[in-house]
Amino acid sequence: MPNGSFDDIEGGFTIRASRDAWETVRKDIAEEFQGEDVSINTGRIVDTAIAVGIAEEKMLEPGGPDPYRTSTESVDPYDVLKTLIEVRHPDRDADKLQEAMIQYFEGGLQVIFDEIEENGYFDYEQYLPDDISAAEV
Amino acid sequence: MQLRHIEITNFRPYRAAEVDLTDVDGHIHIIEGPQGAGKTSFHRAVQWGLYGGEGPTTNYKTNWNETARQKGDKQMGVRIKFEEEGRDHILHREIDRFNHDRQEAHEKRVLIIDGDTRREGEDADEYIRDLLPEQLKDFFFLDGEMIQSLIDDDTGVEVKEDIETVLKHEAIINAREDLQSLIKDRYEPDRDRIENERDERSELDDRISELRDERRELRERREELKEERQEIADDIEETREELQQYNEELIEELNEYDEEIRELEREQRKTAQQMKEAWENIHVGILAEPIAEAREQLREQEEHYEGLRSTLQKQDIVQRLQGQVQKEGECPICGNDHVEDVPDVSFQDEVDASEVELTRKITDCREKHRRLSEASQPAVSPVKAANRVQELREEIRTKEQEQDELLQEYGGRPQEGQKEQYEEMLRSLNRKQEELDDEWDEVRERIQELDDEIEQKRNEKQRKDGEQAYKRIRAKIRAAEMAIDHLDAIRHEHIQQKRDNIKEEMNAVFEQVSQSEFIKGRYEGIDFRGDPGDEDSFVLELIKQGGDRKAMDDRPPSAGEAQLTALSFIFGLNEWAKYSTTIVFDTVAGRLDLQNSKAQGDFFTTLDEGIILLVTDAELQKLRPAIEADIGKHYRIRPDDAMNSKLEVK
Repeated sequence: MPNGSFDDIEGGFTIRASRDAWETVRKDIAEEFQGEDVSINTGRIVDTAIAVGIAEEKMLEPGGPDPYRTSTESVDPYDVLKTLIEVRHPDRDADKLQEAMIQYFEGGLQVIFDEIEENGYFDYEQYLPDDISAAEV
Repeated sequence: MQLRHIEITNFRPYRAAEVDLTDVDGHIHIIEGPQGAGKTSFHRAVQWGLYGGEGPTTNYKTNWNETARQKGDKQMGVRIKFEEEGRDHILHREIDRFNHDRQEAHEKRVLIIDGDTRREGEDADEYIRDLLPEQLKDFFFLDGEMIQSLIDDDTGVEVKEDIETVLKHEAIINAREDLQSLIKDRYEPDRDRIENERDERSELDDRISELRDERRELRERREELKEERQEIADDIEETREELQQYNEELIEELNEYDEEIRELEREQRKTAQQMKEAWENIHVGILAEPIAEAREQLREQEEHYEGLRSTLQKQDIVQRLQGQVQKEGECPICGNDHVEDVPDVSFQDEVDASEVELTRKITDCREKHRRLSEASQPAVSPVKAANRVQELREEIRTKEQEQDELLQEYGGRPQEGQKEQYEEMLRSLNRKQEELDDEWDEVRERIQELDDEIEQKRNEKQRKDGEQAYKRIRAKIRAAEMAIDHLDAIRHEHIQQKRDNIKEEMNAVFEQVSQSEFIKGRYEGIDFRGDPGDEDSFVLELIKQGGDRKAMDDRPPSAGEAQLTALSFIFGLNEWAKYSTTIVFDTVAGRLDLQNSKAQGDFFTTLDEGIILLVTDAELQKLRPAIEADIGKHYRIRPDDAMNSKLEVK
């Protein structure tokens, strides 16, 4: 029983991901805001990628040169993802949970990246509950 | 002009006198009278009768008979009957009234020719002057006292023209005068006029040139105005079209577009915000199911841990109750004292954690559950929101495009007050157009005026003589001047000839009348001084014996010499003069000695024309031996006590 927690990690930590996948996904989401007065925080794109990784239970190690790096201080501000990872991996201590987050991040990025590469877009809606998908804008 | 009858009324000493020279044989008539009796008055009466003298008022005041004046007999007149070229003439000059208020006399002149032709006033005067010019009267109505004045140097100069008139160079003189008149009265005025007209033509040319320049400028201005008017017309048409296109519906439509676009933009911004929020929370949405599962899992864990903790709490209670029973022997709940056996209760096998640990786990589960429960899901799909944003962009673009097309169709967005601006612009353009129209009319009228004026000036110019006419008139003047020079040459030659003839004749007369030894021994004749073309060509000089000359102003000759010289000159001249009249000679021999008087009488007898001699008794005595046989009528002047004179036939 480790029942580790991200709270056990003092201060923030750094997560990383493949540069190509990250840039592709970031641009794909950022394009949605092009020409608008509002923009999306990069941390939310990281959140989204981690969420897809969790949803797809896809955990990969980041690869390639010059990985993208970002502090977790701007990621998951309400600890939803961390909580979920902790719930999913009760046997992991904090360091392992950190690794899981990185792996989910890379896994999610790769899922999204692959689909963008294949179809030109990624269908985020497939993960959303029906009530959200059906909700009128 | 042969005098036949002379009748004098109230003239100087004569109240009523007449001389009748008709029906007599002799041609020398005598009017004899003493000094002061009226010989000179008769002489003057004849001259006044013919020429009038210094005017009626002066004559009336000077010559009106004193007795007539006293008696109020206002008539004063001379009636002369004469014959000229076989025709009878009666000339009657009379002053019949005198206006004392105006001090003016009224004179009548009546000339009756051959009993029926009547001439009056100036007409009669002109007729007499044609027969015998007034300026020549001193050569025919002689005064022995004054005769020597006719040979003064000054007279010689003054009489040159008169002598030439006497010589009747009239054809030449008249031709010359005609030519001079032609030059002076016609050619020179013509030349001056032509010069003026030539100058005027030049001025007209300048004026026409100015007018043409002005017209050219105006025509250029007219072309400019034509273009300006077209531009204004185009501007007006364009402005009218713009005004016509301007309407409230367009404004309303454009405003609707504005409102719709603003609404879409608001919705776009709202949707973009929704999209942002959706993206910010999409990870929660993506993990909705895992979160739900995790929450369920956490709830179950919490219940499990709570169950374990409850067991541990029950064990504690039982154990405390057991210990109380054991200690007190009775049931602390119901007080039953027959408790004999107290079982040993322990759940430790079932619970491997302490209550504190379980409590921490429960708290942990609850905290995680809370986090997951409170995680905000996106309200909408961010993809849908993005699509909607895209749709809104398209809608906005479409609306903006439609609005642009509308604006393009109507030429832009009408500004506030633009309609008024269009209307004001239209009014301004209309005013400008009116101004241009007015100027156009003015220019057109002015061009027409200039056309008319140019035409008028051209016509005016054509009516004026130019350089050719000027050359022609100059040629005419030169020709006339040459003709005058030619006539002068002829006249000069003629004068030379006549002068020689007069000289010969007057020397013949001088030879006849200068019979005294003194004069004959002293002078051989008379000659004219200098050249016949000179002004003083008729100034006389006496030729002394031996050929020396004696000028009349150089130690003047005696009165007798002067009278004989003058007489010789006058009769020498009269011989060649083309005028003829009865000579009236006053004081014939007053200055002559007996011998010369007789010689003069002898000369009178040789004359063909009649002669009236006004003489004193002494003079008549000197003349009588020479003229006795040729005397015609002989009158004697007889003065009375009233100083009036009568003429009586002797």
